[in-house]
Amino acid sequence: MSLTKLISAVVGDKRRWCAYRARAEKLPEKYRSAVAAIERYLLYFVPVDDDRAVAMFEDLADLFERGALEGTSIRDIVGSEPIEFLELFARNYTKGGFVPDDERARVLRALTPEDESASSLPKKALRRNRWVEYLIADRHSLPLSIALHLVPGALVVAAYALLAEPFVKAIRYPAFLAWASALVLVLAPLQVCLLRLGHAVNGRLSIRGVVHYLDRPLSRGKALATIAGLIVWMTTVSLALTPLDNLVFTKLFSWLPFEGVGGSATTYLNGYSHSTLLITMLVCLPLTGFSLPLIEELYFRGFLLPRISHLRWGAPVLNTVLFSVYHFWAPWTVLSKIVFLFPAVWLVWRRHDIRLSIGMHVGTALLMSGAGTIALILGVIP
Amino acid sequence: MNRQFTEMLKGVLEGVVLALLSVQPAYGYEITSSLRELGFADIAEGTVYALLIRIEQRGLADVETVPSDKGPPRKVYSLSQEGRAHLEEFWRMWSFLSTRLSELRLKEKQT
Repeated sequence: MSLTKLISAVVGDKRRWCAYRARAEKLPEKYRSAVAAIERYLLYFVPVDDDRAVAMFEDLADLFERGALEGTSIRDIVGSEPIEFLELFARNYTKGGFVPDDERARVLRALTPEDESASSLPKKALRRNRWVEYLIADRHSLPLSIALHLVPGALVVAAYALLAEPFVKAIRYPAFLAWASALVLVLAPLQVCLLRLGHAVNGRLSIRGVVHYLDRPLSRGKALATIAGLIVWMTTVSLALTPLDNLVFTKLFSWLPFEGVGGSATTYLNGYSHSTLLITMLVCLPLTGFSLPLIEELYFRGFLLPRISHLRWGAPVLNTVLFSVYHFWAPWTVLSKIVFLFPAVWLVWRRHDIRLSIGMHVGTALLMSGAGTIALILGVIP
Repeated sequence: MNRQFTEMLKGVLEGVVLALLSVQPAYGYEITSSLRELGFADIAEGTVYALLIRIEQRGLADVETVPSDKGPPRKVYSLSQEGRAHLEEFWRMWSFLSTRLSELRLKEKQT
């Protein structure tokens, strides 16, 4: 049975239910995800009557809103035995319920966040410096968020101009390789930063608590279907909007000094030998086709997006726009990027499942660079 | 905290909360902190909250909503007439239990 069906069967009063949902969505991330997990768990119980069914969730929201205000940790709210708390809580409103083992395990996982079990050690908390606190806070201020979105892009251009381009030109390889190298030079340290923040939070190498939307709330089938849809959308729309990119390029950006800018995806490969191109593609495939988009998703969707979610729908809009602008090395593609990226960003924000945008971004990148490499091997591209 | 103690606590927690409310009306957060001061360090805020809702539902406490300087209004719980009777009953059972247990212990020492 789908969750929405279950809700309408279990929760009679839709207006009160929606009011509860809106309150739950407004909570800071760690409280929000705890409430979401508990909500899912409680739906396995049979309510005494319609009124109690909704009252249960309203009281749940009360409890966590107060907790968020006082800054109480999840651990202090649900205790060391969260299941016992949940059973006690549910008994006030329901005739009992049967919760499958895997659901029990799931709620336990969600209610014992690694970041909290570690941060309850006072030593750990003391060792964190102010910047780490700013970065891993539930919210980023608008200026901070804008800077965190855009600075990596500026660094990529700097890394390209200062290091990658001179080097790649010296070994006579196409600019494409230089851009990939510049991205690696910036995104690999960025990933290390995420892991270090994760270490500060968890006391071990993990990105939980730093990167959000990792709880996989969607079923595997639903996630895969959504990803497939998004890949089709991104591929068709990005191809369809190539004329727009070209127009913007010739009108505004033809002055850019980079080698092989603009035009189709293959222009900057022209003029190199087949073996050079093949080596370039093979070197770049695991990077531009996999790791780089993955890091971008973890950083932009997992780390930055949830920390501006207090802007409500403004969060996915701002994140899409800023992420598109972040591609300073291809400013003529910003408009089309906004269009083909937005559905994925919106869905991640709405469904709290980062697999959607990772699937789309990595999937499309693999598809494109895989197809390019195969075409090159087969000699379709001369 | 060990398992046995947790189990014991579960049995008397409601009585303890009623006893705290009989001293003075309080809201959930205050009850939790009083319990922690009493030595129930591991008590979860949610557990106390669920218990207070239960106490309210059974008419053992009256609830008054008072505005809060921080955030939404708070529910302040005070013991009702019925709650007082319930608390007395709890203490009766408690003294019965503790007398019997002390007697048992005395016998154990004598043998």
